[in-house]
Amino acid sequence: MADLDVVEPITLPNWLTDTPLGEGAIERYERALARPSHRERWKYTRVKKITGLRSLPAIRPDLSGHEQAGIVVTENPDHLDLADLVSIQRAPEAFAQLCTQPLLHIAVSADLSQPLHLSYRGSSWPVIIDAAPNVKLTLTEAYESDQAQQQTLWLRLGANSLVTHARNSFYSTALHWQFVSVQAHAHSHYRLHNHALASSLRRQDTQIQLVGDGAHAELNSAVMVAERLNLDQQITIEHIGAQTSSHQRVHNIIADRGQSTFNGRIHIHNGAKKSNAQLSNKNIGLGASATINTKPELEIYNDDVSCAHGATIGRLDDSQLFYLCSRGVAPAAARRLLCEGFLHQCVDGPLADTARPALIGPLQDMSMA
Amino acid sequence: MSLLDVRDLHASVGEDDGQAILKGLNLQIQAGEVHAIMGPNGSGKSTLANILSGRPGYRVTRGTLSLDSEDLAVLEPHERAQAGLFLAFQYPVEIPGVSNMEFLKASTDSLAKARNAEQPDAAAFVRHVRTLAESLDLDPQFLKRGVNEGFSGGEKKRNEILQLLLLDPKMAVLDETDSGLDIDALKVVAEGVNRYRNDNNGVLLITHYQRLLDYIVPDVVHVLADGQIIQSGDKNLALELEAKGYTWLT
Ligand SMILES: Nc1ncnc2c1ncn2[C@@H]1O[C@H](COP(=O)(O)OP(=O)(O)OP(=O)(O)O)[C@@H](O)[C@H]1O
Ligand SMILES: [Mg+2]
Repeated sequence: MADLDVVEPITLPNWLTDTPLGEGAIERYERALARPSHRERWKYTRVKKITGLRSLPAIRPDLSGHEQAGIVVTENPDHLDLADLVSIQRAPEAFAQLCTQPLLHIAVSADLSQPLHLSYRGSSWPVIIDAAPNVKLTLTEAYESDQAQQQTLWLRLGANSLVTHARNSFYSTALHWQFVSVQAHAHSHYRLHNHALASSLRRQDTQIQLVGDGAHAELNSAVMVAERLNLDQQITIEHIGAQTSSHQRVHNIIADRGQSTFNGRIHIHNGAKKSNAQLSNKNIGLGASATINTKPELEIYNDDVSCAHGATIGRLDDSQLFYLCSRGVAPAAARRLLCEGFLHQCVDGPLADTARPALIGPLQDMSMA
Repeated sequence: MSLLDVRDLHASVGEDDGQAILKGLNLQIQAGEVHAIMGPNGSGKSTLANILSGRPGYRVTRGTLSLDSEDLAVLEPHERAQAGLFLAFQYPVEIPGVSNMEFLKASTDSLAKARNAEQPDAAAFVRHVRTLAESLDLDPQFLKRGVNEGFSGGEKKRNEILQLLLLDPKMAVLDETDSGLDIDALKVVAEGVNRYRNDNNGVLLITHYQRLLDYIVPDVVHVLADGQIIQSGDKNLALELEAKGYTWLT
């Protein structure tokens, strides 16, 4: 795509210049924009739309639960070494964000009894969360504005830590970009519950690196794309440490004239012996002209692994439909119930109770004929 | 007029003209009666059940079927259920993500609405369903799981009987509900069917085993072969079939 050739100029902020990440950052950024993997990630969505969000004023996210013992919040730290956490190559456009906005650093050094909650009132500062080794925490995110906006989030999971992360994205009007990058150290456990409606365009980038031996990631995602709306989800899981495991279940419903893109990439590095990766992406199209792009990609660089990887595009199941109708449920209500069931299989975690009704909201207004 | 009245029924399955499976079937069941249908594999027993319930892909090519004087052939599957027909499936379908309780509530509410009856109060409904589950030796935990999801064969069949008791139809068609049940489960299922029976409703039992008929005593036993009823008799016919098989009839 033509717009990929245009390099958006960036300048390094002071806090970055003398750090390892800052070294040669501009050149690395420009090279990354030209890489084939970058082009692949932006095959169905114009990157210009997303990088254009950088010109919006960004505001500090509202926090709650941050007054618990064990949390230290710093605005614009003077010095922060992010060399191992932030990869320019994997996501140059997210790095650009980091250079443009003030940032918020949250260090968590003790188990949290309450969730740490981030609430966004529009385009937001980048957030970096450092979970110390052995801590357990729950992170929740919600969006309070229907304006065009972007958020970038980097999470570092220390060894043996457990992070449960839930995100409800339900405003369905404006352009929205959500970027999450996770780095999981030895035997840490990252769980993401992603519940989203589509919008005029909602782009969700999720990049997870299982760097430590025995690190584990679990991702459940339920997405409802209502008529004429669009959601583009790009998930990359890199297995780097030995005996790492990942388990992903992604269910999408796409209404007539809606568009959904799912790119699920699993990359198993040479050192990731005895790793296990599972990905199941199921899509149900309603109506004759739903657009569904799904591409599971598997790159394996050692032969001592087990992977199960599958994507399906289909319609509601006729025998399930008949079973419901044979019990007196009218076809439209039966279809709605099946859609709900399909989505609810991927709804769980701390925000599940609000997610369930919100996800099926658009189905109530559809004829389901 | 019979409760269930099937006359000269011809039916086919599949695309276009399909394959003729039922070839002139007659069956009249009066209120208060239990009829059993036995017959070789592939003779058309499940096809009859599917035709009665209006399953897509199954077509009536000749003849009539009615329930309580209402023409079934013109009704959609959900309208047939609302008219009082119930089919216990030979192979109950699994629906992950839709909890059994949610499913039972949706069915009950739909039928209540069609009958212009009041929808049951949610708490009372849950209590009622739990009691029914316990009476069928089904752990009430099953009600929270997806419809039939991961249920054993026997649990699925008991779940069908739970629905029968809950929805209380005029006419129940049970397609091999006894298949795959152990002796204790068979007794539980039979007890459930007997509990359902009354002078105003009817039962059509499709079965391969005479044993079921020791527990649910039929008024009439029919033999279905090659799409027609070729013999009818009392419960002793089932004993005779058990001893001699079907070949002496065909
Ligand atoms: N959907 C279908 N498409 C094509 N053929 C079908 C279909 N359903 C049934 N048939 C055929 O119709 C015939 C009758 O099948 P049916 O299931 O009614 O038999 P049955 O008497 O219930 O057998 P069983 O005792 O094995 O359950 C069989 O030859 C079967 O293969
Ligand atoms: Mg059969």
